[in-house]
Amino acid sequence: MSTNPTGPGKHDPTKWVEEHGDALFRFALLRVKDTTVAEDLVQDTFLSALKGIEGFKGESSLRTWLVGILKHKIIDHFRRAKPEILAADLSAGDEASESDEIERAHRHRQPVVEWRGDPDKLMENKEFWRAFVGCLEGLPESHRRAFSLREIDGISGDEICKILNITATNLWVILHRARVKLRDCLETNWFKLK
Amino acid sequence: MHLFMPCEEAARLTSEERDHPLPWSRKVILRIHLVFCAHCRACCRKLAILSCIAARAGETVLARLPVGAGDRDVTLSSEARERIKHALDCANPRK
Repeated sequence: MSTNPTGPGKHDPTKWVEEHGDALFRFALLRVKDTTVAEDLVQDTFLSALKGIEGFKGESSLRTWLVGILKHKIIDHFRRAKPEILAADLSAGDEASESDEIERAHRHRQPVVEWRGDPDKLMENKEFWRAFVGCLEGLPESHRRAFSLREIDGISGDEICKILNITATNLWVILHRARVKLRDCLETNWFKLK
Repeated sequence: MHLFMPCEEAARLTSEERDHPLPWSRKVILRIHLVFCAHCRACCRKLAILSCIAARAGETVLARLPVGAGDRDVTLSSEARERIKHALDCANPRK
């Protein structure tokens, strides 16, 4: 006896929004700044899942399958981004990075602030999580995209260059700036305070 | 081959090394720099911790944790929730 995959059986799409909507929304919002874009990505994910539900074999959980679809939707969204946005972020970063370098050179003469705490434990701490997300939100759009693809999703540099339509040299510059900004932000807003 | 590099270059190479293998000569000079510079060694450790934190962020955000600077949990707005439910309802051929 076969069950109707889109009916009120094991995977009932009418319950998807309540059961997975918020988690997918938070997942999208970690990668895109705009709330409306994140909502649209979640909606597109559910619609694609509905179309492809016949192909879902249940080898992973429904949540994992939906997250996999959402990741592809986010990458497609990045691919469609206008190159000017990334170029503007790159040139804006030039001025910022110069003053950052001077500031860092001065700080180099100050005592080293060690980062204490197990990363696993830190991620369970809501206050730390807020600091981390706040710092991520403070990055320019191109930095945030490159950093999230590389460090959160673990995608290779070559693949990211294709997605963002940039050269490897540009990617390394963007990733370096993103890491430095995040490191400094976390140090100011968390590690120095603890 | 210059055996010394400024801290700015060491910082850049420490980051780049996480994304692609460095030429051996740059790698050797970077290691020499790190032996003598406690600040750059600390920065290198911090980048490794940052990577660990970011790698866990994806799964963390799927749990019930807020995204955003406020105290409230971040959830779909009721309007978005209804809009998505309606779109799913219209697209479901077997409802």
